[in-house]
Amino acid sequence: MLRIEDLHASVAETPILKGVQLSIGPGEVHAIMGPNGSGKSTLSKVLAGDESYTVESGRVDFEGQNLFEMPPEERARAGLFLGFQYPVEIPGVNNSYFLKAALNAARAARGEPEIDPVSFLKRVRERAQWVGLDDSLLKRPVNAGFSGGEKKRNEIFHLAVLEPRLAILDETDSGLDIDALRAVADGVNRMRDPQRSFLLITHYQRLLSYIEPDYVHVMVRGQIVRSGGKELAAELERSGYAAFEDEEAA
Amino acid sequence: MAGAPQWVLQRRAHAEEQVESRGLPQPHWEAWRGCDLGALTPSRLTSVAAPALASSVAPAAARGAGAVTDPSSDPLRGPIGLLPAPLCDAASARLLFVDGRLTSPVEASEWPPGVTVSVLSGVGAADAHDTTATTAAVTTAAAPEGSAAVASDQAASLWQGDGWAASHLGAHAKADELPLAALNLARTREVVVIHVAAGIEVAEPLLIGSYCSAAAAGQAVYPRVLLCAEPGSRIGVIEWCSGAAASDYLHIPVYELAIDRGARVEWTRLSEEGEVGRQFATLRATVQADGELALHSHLDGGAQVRADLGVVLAGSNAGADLSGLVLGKDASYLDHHTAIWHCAAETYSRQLFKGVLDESACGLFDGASHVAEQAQRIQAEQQCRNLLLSDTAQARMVPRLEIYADDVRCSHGATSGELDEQAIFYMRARGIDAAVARLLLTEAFAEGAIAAGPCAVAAAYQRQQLRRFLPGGEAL
Ligand SMILES: Nc1ncnc2c1ncn2[C@@H]1O[C@H](COP(=O)(O)OP(=O)(O)OP(=O)(O)O)[C@@H](O)[C@H]1O
Ligand SMILES: [Mg+2]
Repeated sequence: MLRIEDLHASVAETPILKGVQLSIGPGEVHAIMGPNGSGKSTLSKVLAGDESYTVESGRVDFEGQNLFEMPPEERARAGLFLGFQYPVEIPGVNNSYFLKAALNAARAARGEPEIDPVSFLKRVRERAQWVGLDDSLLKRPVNAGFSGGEKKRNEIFHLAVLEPRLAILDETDSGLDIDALRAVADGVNRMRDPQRSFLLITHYQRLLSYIEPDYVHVMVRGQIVRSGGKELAAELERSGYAAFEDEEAA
Repeated sequence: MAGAPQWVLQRRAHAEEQVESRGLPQPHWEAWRGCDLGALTPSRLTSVAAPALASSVAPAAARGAGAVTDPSSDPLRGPIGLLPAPLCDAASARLLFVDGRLTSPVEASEWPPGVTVSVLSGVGAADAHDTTATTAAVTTAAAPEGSAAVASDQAASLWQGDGWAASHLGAHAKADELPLAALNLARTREVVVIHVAAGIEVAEPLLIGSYCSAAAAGQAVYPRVLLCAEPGSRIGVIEWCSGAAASDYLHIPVYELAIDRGARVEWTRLSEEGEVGRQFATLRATVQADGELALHSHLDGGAQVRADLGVVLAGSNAGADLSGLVLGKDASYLDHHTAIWHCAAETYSRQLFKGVLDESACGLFDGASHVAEQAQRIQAEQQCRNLLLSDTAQARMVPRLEIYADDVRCSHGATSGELDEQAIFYMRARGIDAAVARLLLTEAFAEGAIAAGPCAVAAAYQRQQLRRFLPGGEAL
């Protein structure tokens, strides 16, 4: 599904990612943990195609395509989804209109006709319920004036409507109350599928007790320094990152 | 009625004297600082002499998706087809001037009850350049409940020296103070007066268009409209100014609005001048106690357009809601000068102007709020926001507050910026085209100003024209 090879990336001439290696197979759930500033969001933005980051070297293959040859919208239409750590407010663009435009752009890229309004409405209603998103937020401009928790729920709602192949969720669990965390986790679990993969970026073991990952990776200073199973998350919870600070990528 | 009324001729003569003694606006005059006055040269200010005939008007020159009506396919519409169709269809009645001439007579049956419209034609006697001055003719429509005799009585009384036209024409846009208002009064060929009787409420807007054809190239056209809204009445007007693409005409319209106690006037200006056309418009309104003016100004294109909008809030609780949208590309210079005079207590003014500026366009907003000493407990707000779509586009904003009362609530804000790149990335990361993302964000920006206007029909038309203006908008 996704294969990252020796990825180096910088922002404003400062190297941030220093040789990331990671492979994600179909249906797998991976989690990345790591201290603040280690480059987790940078990795997610680089994968999504944010032009403020410069890819210095390395290769990323997404479903057989060279990701770096595709503009962000093409990546999204090919099934790559990024749930933002800080979802952006889009003033004046109605949430459900926005989703319809996004969904139809992906369908057009696959040569499919536009979704009919009735099925769209049905899908939107159903998925809003999955993540416990208040109906009133469908008619409001995307994220505009949403509370922190509402923004995060809205990201998962977008995920649920767009049905991507690979979802990268950058700290979607941060800032959520317990009920919201459960709703978000339920939403993700419903979306789990042998053909759909997830990359969860998180600081908390708790999310991983709701969404069980197949693999856990530790990112330190722009590299993945350790990979393991879900027990690695528990170990981190106990010992913190200090033990990994000196590790170099294997 | 033979000849223009004496008082009209006298006022024109007085205006001509003003033009001669005071001259044209000068760049060192405060109100004209920074304004390119190159087009205001005596040779260009000649009124168009050739009578514009329907056949001389090339319908293809009409711009805008709205102006799709092809007069040749609809001969009954004639040059009226130059008016944007969606506006035409929604209007309760329409008047179109081409090169300053009314294209079809005012039909009584067309006008809503309680509204009297009269056009004083061929008042060019005082115009030295006009050798073809014709006898003044008054065409009048009146309330259907009135008989034809009543209608012509009204027409006659309307133009009498003690009638309402005489008490208002030139009383709001004063020839002594405004050089272009003087010029307009001296040179205009047809004066439109609209009278709305007390308590009358007209639901659909009236549409008044002025179009400059290729025949107006290198010359000036001086539309003049006077609107009197009697106490408690309510009326909407859409006023459209446009012209042929390659014609370097000069549009110098003047609008005077007398809004009596408790009356509400909704005035929407849609300026869609041709690429090399220029416009210097003056609007002056006086609002009496409890009256209201909702004024919206849409400036789209033209080499240079300046809209001078002035409102006197003369009675307590009179209010003015001003809003506008500027769409500039190429090297357009689009300018709103607003001035509100708060002359009475508890008056209010709210202004929201937005500009979308692309290529090398320049948008200027100069907003002045004057608060007289006796105007206590007033509210004056103004906001101007600009979106720059290119590195070479420019926005200039000059708020001016002149406050002599002590108990006032005044605020102003001015910003200019670019599209939010983070928002664009967010949208692209969900699969939306970069161009569409820009378009949607730009539309969202403009929507605030469009929605602030009083006329739903005009707003729908503006949204459509905004799509035409934006790169990739038509494909959407
Ligand atoms: N646009 C930017 N301009 C300058 N520096 C940046 C930019 N984006 C990221 N950085 C820097 O890159 C480093 C990595 O940031 P990143 O956001 O990827 O960390 P993170 O692992 O996601 O941290 P957190 O856990 O706090 O979210 C930080 O030092 C950050 O300051
Ligand atoms: Mg982060």
